[in-house]
Amino acid sequence: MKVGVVQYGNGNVHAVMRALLRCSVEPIIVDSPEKIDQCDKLIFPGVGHFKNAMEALQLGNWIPALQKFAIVDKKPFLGICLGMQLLSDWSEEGDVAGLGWIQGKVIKMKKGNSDIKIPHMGWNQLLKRNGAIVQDVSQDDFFYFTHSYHWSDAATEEILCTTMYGSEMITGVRKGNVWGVQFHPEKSYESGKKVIQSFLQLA
Amino acid sequence: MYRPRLIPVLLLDKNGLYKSQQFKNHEYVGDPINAVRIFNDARIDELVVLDIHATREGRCMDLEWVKKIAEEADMPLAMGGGITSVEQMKAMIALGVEKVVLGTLPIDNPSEVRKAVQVLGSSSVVVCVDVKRNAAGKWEGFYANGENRIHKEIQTYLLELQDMGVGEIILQDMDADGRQCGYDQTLFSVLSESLSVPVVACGGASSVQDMVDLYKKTNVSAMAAGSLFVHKGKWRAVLINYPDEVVKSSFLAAE
Repeated sequence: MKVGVVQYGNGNVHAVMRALLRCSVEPIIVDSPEKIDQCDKLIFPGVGHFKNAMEALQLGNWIPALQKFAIVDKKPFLGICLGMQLLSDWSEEGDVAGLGWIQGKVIKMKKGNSDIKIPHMGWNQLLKRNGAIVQDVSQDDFFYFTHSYHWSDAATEEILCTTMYGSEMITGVRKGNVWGVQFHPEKSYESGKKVIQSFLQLA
Repeated sequence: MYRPRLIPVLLLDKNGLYKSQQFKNHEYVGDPINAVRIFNDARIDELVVLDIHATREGRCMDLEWVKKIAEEADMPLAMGGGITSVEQMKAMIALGVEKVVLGTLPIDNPSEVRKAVQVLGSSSVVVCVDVKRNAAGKWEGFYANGENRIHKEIQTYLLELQDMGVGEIILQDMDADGRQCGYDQTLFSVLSESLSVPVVACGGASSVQDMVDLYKKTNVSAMAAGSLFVHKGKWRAVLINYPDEVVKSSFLAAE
């Protein structure tokens, strides 16, 4: 099995590579769309601003190859952090359309009546969990988060997990073979390893 | 449930790690890679590494060090020192840093900080502000390893940083640095009160209990320390250490 880590712009692929090596997988850095064809599974990380990332994907002509892999060929695909948000229809961060693979929009976190600080920075748990890649996660597992925008308006059956921060936030989505998590499994020690390993074990 | 972070802060110079007292008397405490490995095993919440003399020496922190440390780090990593451009920040993030830490740039070139927020997103951009009490008992802000005064009312400056869009502010209490005298709760309480971004408190921690107390009594989101995590005992013997899961979970019980 060949696992690719997509490097399309400002992101940091090294932490993901390192986490995969710890799961005894020798990943491929996918630094051009042509390399996607060699992969059986793709991990799609992302750091930074939504609009810039979409522009980088368009500029590098990434979208057709990613579409073929995830939507036409239906191979396992995991977006992490901004990589998850890019799967949505639209983001308030830059007011631009996303890939539109999973129903939802990405909006700025709001304080509401709570005393939360924004961004959501640090360690938190998964409240609801419903899907193969979080099947081994327990309510005691902590994950590393760093984000100020979050997913909303998901279809109920496409919610992979949620997290309590002021209010209950969607922090994971799933539609068929396409998965997305808001937290950083690659920086979440054993808890994150459970998620990565479950993704690697998907058929 | 959200869990506050306990963050070791390591001070980097050209050839290794140092620990200061009140931002002076830097004492060698060891090799950064070795420290990162020990902290990996301890499953620390996050690591901050600052190159303390980069700004004074007019250089960006050594990207070779950034690379070596990031390659070794299992934990979320924030690094800074002498950063003057978005290009440098991008290079650091590409090498594996989650967050860049700025100190001088918001003073010298606020528009570059706004640009960084635009390109990298708020949550990747952190600013460190050094705080010291003056003779009149008033807190003043400093930068460049506490060497230069910020000629603004400190609370005004902190709100300006927030308006620039930075994602987190590290407040370093210069008076308490390296003294393990406990956190100045009033300082962190007053300065974090009006901010909507997370504040990391640093300076003075003598025990995990100090951290629990500060978290309960103030609005800070994370407690950082240097000495507590690199020294042991009254002779300040160098020993990298960190509380285990049981102690850490006492935070949750304390809620």
